[in-house]
Amino acid sequence: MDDRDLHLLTIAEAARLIESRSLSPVELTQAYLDRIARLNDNLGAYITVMSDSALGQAARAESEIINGDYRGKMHGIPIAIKDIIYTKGVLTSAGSRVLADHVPDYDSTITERLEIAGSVLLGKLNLSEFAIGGTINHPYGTPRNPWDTGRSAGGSSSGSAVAVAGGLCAGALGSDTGGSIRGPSAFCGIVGLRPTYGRVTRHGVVPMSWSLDTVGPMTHTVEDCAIMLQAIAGHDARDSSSSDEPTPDYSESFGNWPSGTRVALPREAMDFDGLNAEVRGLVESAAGQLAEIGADVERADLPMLAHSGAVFLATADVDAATYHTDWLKSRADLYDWNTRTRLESAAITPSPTYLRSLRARTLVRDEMLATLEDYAFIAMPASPTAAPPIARSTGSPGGYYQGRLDLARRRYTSPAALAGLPAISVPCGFTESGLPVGLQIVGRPFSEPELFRVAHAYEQAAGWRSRRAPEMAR
Amino acid sequence: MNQLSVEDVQRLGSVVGLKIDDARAKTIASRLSGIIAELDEIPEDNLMSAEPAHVFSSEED
Repeated sequence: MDDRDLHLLTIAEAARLIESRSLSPVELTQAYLDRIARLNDNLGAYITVMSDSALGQAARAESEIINGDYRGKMHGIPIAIKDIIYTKGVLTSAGSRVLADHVPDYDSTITERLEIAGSVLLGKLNLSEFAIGGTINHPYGTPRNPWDTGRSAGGSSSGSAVAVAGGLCAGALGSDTGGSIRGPSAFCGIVGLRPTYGRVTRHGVVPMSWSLDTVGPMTHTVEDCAIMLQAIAGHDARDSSSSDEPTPDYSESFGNWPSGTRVALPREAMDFDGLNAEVRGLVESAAGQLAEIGADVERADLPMLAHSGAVFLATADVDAATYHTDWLKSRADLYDWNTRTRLESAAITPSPTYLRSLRARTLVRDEMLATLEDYAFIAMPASPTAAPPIARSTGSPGGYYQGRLDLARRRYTSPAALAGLPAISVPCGFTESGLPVGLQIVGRPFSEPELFRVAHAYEQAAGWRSRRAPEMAR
Repeated sequence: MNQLSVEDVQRLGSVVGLKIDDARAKTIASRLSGIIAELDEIPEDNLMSAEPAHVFSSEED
């Protein structure tokens, strides 16, 4: 294979070549570093590139594999992580000037697990400030969508989505509090998984919301998503929210799935006025393809979806404001205008409103779980639109909050987050202007194997994987 | 307190030690009023019968 095409390999493909010693991890790592050097200034994916340590890790992996010590599918694979995940001795900025000098003296558990798996860490990825969406001015450069660099990559795991879709790493980790993996994955035409709450440890991860934060993989394919999740999933005694539910072998997820599997398509998602017509059409076509491969897809009523955006903001943002209390008083001028506005709004949220949101969260969760007793999955768009232009998506001071519509649009990603459920976004087609659209599939708690199975079956049937972002060809 | 004013926002801000200028207070008033109004649309009977959510554990799930 030509060195110039190595970035086109999936993790699974590269792993097979590395295991058989047909591909050198050093060669693969260098190929990505060359692309980062050439393209990152334009794409804004990385905050920190760790060239020297990455090449050292790659050389070590190569030596181990030659000596017969192959650790598994992540061994020698160059990946990158969102810059809220602690890395010992390396800047962890959370995309903010507030933490411009923050160099942790320990690794997150996730960083440790990636190293144990033998992966190669290329660097730390850009994001919306503190993983809170709506950043106007990114202090480390604006992430640009590889499908159209004038378009937004979404938020908050924007750099992670850009790096994967632009061929600047084989796979990435993002975080999802209320949609921050699924939204950017949909906008950038990749696969992104929000795991079940507690499935992946958050020890050494800068928090947004203690009761909603998750860390998950963002990759080219569903199979790659499963490979990355395998490396980071599992109980961690250092994280009190970490589940001790046994971690399955996700490589066994793929294969046939039972004919007649019931899938709910919520009316409140599909009939919403704010849903773009092209997105609606593509998701309906995807539902049709799911039916063709054996699913029983039905419209269902989930009335709490319509309120879930407000419930999410009243819950998650108050959690976030608690973490930022001291900095809002002492370093407020270092925040982006929108981030500061959102946090200050949360800081003064009346306690009856917060308590009301916690009760409403129970209603959202009960409704989702009740639906998932009747159906194996809930399917809907990952976002009501394709990627908007950067200028419009980031707004301007005073124009950030766009009223009730802004809340209503959050109905697509908030419900799974509020209910602690796993959800995956998988590409389901393109708009007439060539922008990708994501199909979101939500599953029962700890049903990641089943989610991988259905998403992989759809991915294979739909065939969108063969289409790549224009930046991949550069 | 469905519709917060700029003055309301600045008063609440001062209680928690935040100095919020007029432009930001205007945005916050609109944003927070919207959230409160949306939450108010949830039927009261349903809401009052629900326990406030807490962190999930694998045992619950």
